Amino acid sequence: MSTICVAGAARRTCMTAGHQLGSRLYHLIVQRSMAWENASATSRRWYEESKRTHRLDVVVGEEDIVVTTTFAERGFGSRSSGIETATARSRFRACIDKVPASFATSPGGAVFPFLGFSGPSMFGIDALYIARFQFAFTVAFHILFPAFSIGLAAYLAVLEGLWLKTGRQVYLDLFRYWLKIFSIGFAMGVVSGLVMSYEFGTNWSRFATKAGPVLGPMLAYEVLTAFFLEAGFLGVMLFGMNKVGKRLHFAATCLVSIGTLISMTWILASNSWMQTPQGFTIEPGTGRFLPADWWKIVFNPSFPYRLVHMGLAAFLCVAFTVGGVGAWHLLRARREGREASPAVRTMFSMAMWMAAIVAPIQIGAGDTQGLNTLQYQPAKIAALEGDWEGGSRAPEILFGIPNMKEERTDYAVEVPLLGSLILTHSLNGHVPGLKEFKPEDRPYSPLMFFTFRIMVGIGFLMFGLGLWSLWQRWRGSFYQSPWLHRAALLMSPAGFVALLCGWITTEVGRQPFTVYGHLRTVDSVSPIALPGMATSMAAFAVVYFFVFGAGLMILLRLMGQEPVMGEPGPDPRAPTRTAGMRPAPVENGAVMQGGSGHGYPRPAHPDAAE
Amino acid sequence: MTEAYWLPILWAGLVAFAVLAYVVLDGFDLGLGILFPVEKGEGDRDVMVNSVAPVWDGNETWLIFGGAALYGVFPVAYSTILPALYPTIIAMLLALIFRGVAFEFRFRAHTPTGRRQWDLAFWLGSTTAALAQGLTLGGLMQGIKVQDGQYAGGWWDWLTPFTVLCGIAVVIGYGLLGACWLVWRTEGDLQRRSRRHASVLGALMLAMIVVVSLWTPQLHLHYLRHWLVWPRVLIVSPVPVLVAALAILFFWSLKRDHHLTPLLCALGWFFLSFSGLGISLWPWIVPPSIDIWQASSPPTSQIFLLVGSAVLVPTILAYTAYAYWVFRGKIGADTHYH
Repeated sequence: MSTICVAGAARRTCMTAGHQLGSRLYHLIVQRSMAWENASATSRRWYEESKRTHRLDVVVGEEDIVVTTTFAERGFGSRSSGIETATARSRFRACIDKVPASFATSPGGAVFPFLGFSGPSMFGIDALYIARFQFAFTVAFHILFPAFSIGLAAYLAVLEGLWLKTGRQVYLDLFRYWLKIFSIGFAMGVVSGLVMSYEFGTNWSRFATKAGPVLGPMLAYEVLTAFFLEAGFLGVMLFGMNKVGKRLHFAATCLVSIGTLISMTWILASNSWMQTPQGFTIEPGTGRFLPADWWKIVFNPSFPYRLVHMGLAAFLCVAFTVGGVGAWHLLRARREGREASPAVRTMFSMAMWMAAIVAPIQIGAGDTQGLNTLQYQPAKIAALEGDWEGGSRAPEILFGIPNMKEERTDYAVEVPLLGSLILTHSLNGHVPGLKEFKPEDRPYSPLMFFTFRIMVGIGFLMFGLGLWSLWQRWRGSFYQSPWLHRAALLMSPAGFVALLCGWITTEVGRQPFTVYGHLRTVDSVSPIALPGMATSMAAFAVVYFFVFGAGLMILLRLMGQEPVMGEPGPDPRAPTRTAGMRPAPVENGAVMQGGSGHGYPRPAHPDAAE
Repeated sequence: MTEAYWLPILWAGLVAFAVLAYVVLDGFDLGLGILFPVEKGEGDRDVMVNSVAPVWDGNETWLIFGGAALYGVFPVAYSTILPALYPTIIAMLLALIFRGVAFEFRFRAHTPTGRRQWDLAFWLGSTTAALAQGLTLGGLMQGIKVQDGQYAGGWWDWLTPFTVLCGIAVVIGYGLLGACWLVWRTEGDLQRRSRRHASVLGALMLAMIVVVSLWTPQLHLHYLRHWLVWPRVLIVSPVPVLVAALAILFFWSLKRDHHLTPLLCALGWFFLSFSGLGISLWPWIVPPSIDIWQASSPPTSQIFLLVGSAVLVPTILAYTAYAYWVFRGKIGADTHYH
């Protein structure tokens, strides 16, 4: 360790001296002084090469290490050019067995204070917060689209399968109707996901260096096993019905759906590993996570629970979107005094079955994930409960405002004993309190407290709607119950709201660590200065609101059209785009739907467009 | 030879392959966007977009794979290159967002103005993405300041005459690929115009190859040594010769009305230029201080990913080829993918 320390100091000094040898010196000195016999071939080659080209000399004494170099080299990196010559002669006292904490744990921390992220800036906001906010912002946008794709791809596969099995036109109509919507959502998922795969490096470079050996291969597997599969067969799924035939097309749809599920599996394995890491060792000196047991890494303790919870969440997101669209068209048909089309009735019915069956399962899945979190991340439980004291026979705080400074929850409304009962399934069970954890290890409770409650509340509302729909079915007034339809319409974005709230709860609850218990967020951030981070944050915000706002408008417009008999898919002989180019209301005013006012021609009359 | 020695070499090859696959595949569909200002006809633009609509998604996936593989196998490179080239990377990602959604949105726009806006987004997005990729490449080639395994340079280090030249070269190169793609996949007037564009862009591309090739060795003695040291010069000298041979074939085939040959020649140029860059860089991954062995993750990570890649990459190539096969043939005005 002492040698590493000296070598680190040598490297820094040499870098400051203005030449490029520093990073090589690190390895050279370590190898030269500790175990030259064990040095890798590369290091030996460098050493020999450097000795020749840069007249490098390393003398290891009892107390000193003397590094002498003379070199001539072209300027790199910046706009410096021409030949520079410099001599660095450095002497360092060997600090025996004493490694400065800043070097051992976070090499950057000691070196880059001038870049402005190791302390608060003059506005009290530093690059770390912008980096976090930017990542949270981009991932929050992104997470909606994969969830939508996962659920919708599965729904499409079911619809096409039903169509092949029963031959009923209504399933094909619904398939084509939702396929158009899927293609838009999928494109937005791809482009927002691309950002994520690079943001680990741009915003979290120190995290990437350390956790890359564990997380990088998992993400690469996600790309190899899922993204390529989805992208490869998406073209066939969207446009290939007439080219490859029904059965192959169904296979393509299933492969895309399987791809979305595989993708979810890998990304949740990665995310869960950050929450409950295992199966690794930490390399001394560099702090890198070295994978030791891949099975343990992938199947880490929270992974199965999180996978089930997230998968069901994606299905519920889509179920409630489909249900909301169905309800909208049922309500409109009722207002116009006509019978809703079979496709509308079928989609509403399918969605409400999902709500009735999946919502209670999801509540159970959430409960098991809570128990798992209690076991592995008790601080997260304490923070989302807003519970400072903990202990047995703990109350459940229904409402309150956690106060991090005063270490209490203000305005708390409590139900005695319920906290212990929910979390441990026993009245006398012990629940953790935030005060059991050091202040610097506590997640930010005020945010999680509310997001958690919103998520749980929506979960029970979903369950309630499912029960209501069952009751109306039993009464035989399922399609004639406007209040049920209104509730379903109101609940259409509920899945996504719950998903985001759940995600915020679990990720904020992981703070202040990126790899729980092992790597702090403050030690993960890139050496990017505040102005750069802030500029890119602004650019992301503008672009995302503009692009995804436009995407949402297009999605809503597509959903606002009623699915009809002989629904054209994205590969119609009657080109929707020809219609789209024209000032549609003028030519297709006759077929506009009453009250909608968007002027988009209805695909019900493809002949009119031709 | 230990596994710690040969694994990074294998992976450097695989990452290079992924980057090359991305460049040649997404190159032509970005190229179509770059050509938008010279193809103003709505019908022609639809044909252009439709010729890649079923496959662009897969093309872009190679970029995601490149990023993820770099993250997993060369985390040190991933975590120094990306902060160093932060502005160009972010610009590229934002540009690709515009251009990716424009594929879908332009067909769904319900007014002519909306459609023109998304056409503009498609052009700007494609061109900016190409420019940013060139700047990134140039920024990497000219070297990155690294200290303690982290980027230690400034905010504007990536902006130099050399990187700007690389940016322009990539825009021209992608434009060439796009034009050649249209020569292959379309017919009639659009094909005739594309042939003309291809020959202009081909000449510009050749000029760019020459200038960049002469400039690169000036950046660092290391690069020069890789090209001019005996006996290495024997191995690398075919590269310029082949570029010249392909140039002759390219212009000849354009004149003789070949459909596919110009595209193959352009791809050949990309392959040779890419090899040239590889020869200059080797064994560095972040010049001038980090080589592939220093940048690599531990062998356990590399083996874990390599085992799967050995099976999956050929499978991916097979079904990607199948997807291209399904949508083969000339794209006419009556082909509607939206």
